[in-house]
Amino acid sequence: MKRHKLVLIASLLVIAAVVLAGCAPAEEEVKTVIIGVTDEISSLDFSDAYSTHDWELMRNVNVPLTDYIPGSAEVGPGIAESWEVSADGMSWTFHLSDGWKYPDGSELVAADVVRTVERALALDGDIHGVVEGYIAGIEAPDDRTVVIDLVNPRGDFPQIVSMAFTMPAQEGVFPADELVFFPEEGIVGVGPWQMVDYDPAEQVVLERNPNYKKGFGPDAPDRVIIRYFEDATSMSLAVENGDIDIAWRFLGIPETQRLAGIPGLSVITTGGGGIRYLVLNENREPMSDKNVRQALAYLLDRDEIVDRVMQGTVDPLYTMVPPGFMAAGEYFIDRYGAGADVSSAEDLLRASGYSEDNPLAFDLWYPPEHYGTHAAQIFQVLEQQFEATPLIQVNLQSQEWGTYVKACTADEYQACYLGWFFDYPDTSNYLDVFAESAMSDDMGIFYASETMDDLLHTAGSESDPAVRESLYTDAQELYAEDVVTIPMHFEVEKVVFRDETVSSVSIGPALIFDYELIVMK
Amino acid sequence: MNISPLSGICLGSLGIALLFIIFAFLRGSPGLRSYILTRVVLTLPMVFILVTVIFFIMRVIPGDPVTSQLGPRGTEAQREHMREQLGLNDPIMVQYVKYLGKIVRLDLGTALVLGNRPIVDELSERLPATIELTIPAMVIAVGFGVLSGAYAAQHRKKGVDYGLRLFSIAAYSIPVFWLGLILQVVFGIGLNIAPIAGRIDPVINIDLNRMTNILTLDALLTGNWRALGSALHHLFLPSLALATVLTGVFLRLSRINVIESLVEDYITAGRARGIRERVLVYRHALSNALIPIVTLIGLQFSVLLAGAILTETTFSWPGMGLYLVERIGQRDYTAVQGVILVFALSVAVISLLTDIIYAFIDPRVRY
Repeated sequence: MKRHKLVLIASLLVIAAVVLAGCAPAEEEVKTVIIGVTDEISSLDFSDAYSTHDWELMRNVNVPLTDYIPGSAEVGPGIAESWEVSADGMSWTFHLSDGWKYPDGSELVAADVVRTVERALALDGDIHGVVEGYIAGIEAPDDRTVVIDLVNPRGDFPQIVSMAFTMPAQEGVFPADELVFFPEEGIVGVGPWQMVDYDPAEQVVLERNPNYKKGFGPDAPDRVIIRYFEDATSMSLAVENGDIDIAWRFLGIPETQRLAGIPGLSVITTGGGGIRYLVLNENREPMSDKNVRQALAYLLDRDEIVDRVMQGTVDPLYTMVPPGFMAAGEYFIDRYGAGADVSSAEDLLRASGYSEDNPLAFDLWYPPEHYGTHAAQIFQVLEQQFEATPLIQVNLQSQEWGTYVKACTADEYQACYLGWFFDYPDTSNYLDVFAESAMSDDMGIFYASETMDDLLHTAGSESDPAVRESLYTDAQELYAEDVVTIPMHFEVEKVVFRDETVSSVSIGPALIFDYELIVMK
Repeated sequence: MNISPLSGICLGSLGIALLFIIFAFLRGSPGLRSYILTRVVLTLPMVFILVTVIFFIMRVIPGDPVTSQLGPRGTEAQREHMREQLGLNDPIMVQYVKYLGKIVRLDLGTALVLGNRPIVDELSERLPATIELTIPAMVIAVGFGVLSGAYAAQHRKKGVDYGLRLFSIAAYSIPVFWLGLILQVVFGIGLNIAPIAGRIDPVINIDLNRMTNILTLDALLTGNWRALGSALHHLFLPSLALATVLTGVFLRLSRINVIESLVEDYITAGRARGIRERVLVYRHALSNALIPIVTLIGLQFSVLLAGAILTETTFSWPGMGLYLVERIGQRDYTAVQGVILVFALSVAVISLLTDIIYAFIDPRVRY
């Protein structure tokens, strides 16, 4: 029996020693920052990627023709230092700057950009439709020049080429005739980081590109690890106990509020490009009646939803273009006021023949889980706001996301709720898709106005920023007048980091997290 | 020939199972042979029914992968193109026949989302993580449950017996995701002695050479002791959570069987011969009580897999359960079918093996 006990004790000691070895922090030869996310990788092919998280990884590994100015939603030089448009607006020439090198030391050449764009044009990736809609052809007359021919003139083309499909790829990395969603060796480019290891289910490891043109700050990390979590709860606990240094997208409201009260953690609010809005299907009664749409705009009290339901974690939105973008403003406040105006709404409804005996009745749809657990509460409050007048009866309906989104964009609902995140950082991407006649149909809105089309088309092809701003101001005034949709709120994102290891992070309004700008302790 | 880790694990397990069945068949009596044959033949229609039910259930639930993937940006033309590409425009019976044909060729298809990778490749990455979680959980549950059940039986109607019975009821009733959260808060935040989530420290992970993707095994094979320690450290909370919910039923069954054995004549005779009570309980009474527990292990295997789904979700453990949850949300029919098929086949094979083991070790069992 004694022998058994000795064996048992020895076994336990061995297990304890091994576990303690694993518990000890890894020997740190390099400054490593671990960032937790609940996002996932969809595709690492520059000619295919069309999701925020994929783009975030790519922007840290590579640089597009034009790029965001850190801390803002404006674009400036990327690998191109300058550009000009032809007189007819149909051709853009980009001049690449010197000194961009891949981690293996080879220099960037214009053909590397042509390669990615041509693949995006030729292959049926997620970004294909967008690229095809703008670009007719691309060529590299020399190693430092890229010329892109357009389908139609676009004044916002420098913003459009800030997307990942203009990032350079070395010859032989991606095959010309097929997409590679998860390249075996990861991805590299001329950006600050190189992907040295990744497992889509667990983590991505980035190390410095030794040839990065702009260099690194003295307290920048040497290595970045992106760690994937299933939910915000475990991610928030992980940043609290020190398993990770930074908790990034998506922290929910309860997690953010809890973490904000814990000493040693900093919670920072960043800009966000995501908006939420009500679709009013103008192809169906009663939303085809402008008076009805305007009455609903009068009745909506965004502040109540923001404060009561979202507890201040989002901001009210009074046009489809979020703050920080060209010509953003508070057009719905100017037209309908900030709070609910029941009497103005009732006047409009009575003018359209509605009364206490013949109230306006409609179905209002929402997805119960896709936009978070607050959706049901938002719509209960919304129902109360609309039914503040006896002239309206709202019938709340919910549907699973897959079915919901199809119905909402396919003329099956009278009114529903959707979100939008920009493809490229320009006002046009927040207006064209909803208000331009052809695109509006695809979004389930069915709005058509020649005046609006003229304004959007002219602004889209205009290169002068002042003229564009004026045109987009007019377009948004008309948008509010016609109530094309009802903007509700825009999302701000929260990032939480441990003060023990991180001093600051830099995330711009366009949600671009530049890992090389992380300042470590 | 290239064999993926999944194929290796599956073929290895099936090989061992087959060898055991052949061994039992050759060594068994005519009655046992007849029983094994009947049991094997009955397994085949069961698997066919499972495969069919999985296919049709996935097609009648609301939503579809095309709209899930394209979202509001997708035009009707894009949706139609994607549906055509995925074969979703074929009549459902045509889809079903194609599906069965692929299953027969061990082709689980390609994922409908996130890179359209072969399902076999994706499961190859996930299955080892689930094995790494479930085997220790089952060992802990059976080990602790059986021994503590015997201990409770030995101290029947004393405080420790009441305490263990109460624990068994509580353990059986607690939802595993809630227990996991509590363990995270207590051990991860309060005591700060265990990691919250994941399989291994991300930094240590970089240097681990993965061969089987069972991290503890890889660390052992490569002599990477830091990685072994980290993997065990990360395994602690999820395996404890999963084991706890299974422990209760083993504890209760073990207790009642040992109590019944302790009143048998051979135990009384042992006592009369002066054999120590501890030896009587743990060597003689417990040995006889183990027979029904073997059957229970087979039955609890499905509970274990169901628990693994919730445990993996709570601890962001990138195994088959978490994969299943993710792909259900994305309406990825082929991936969900693939996971459920692997789960169903595992349960079918384990049940078959358990029944044969039971019949093999207990000659009284014949059907």
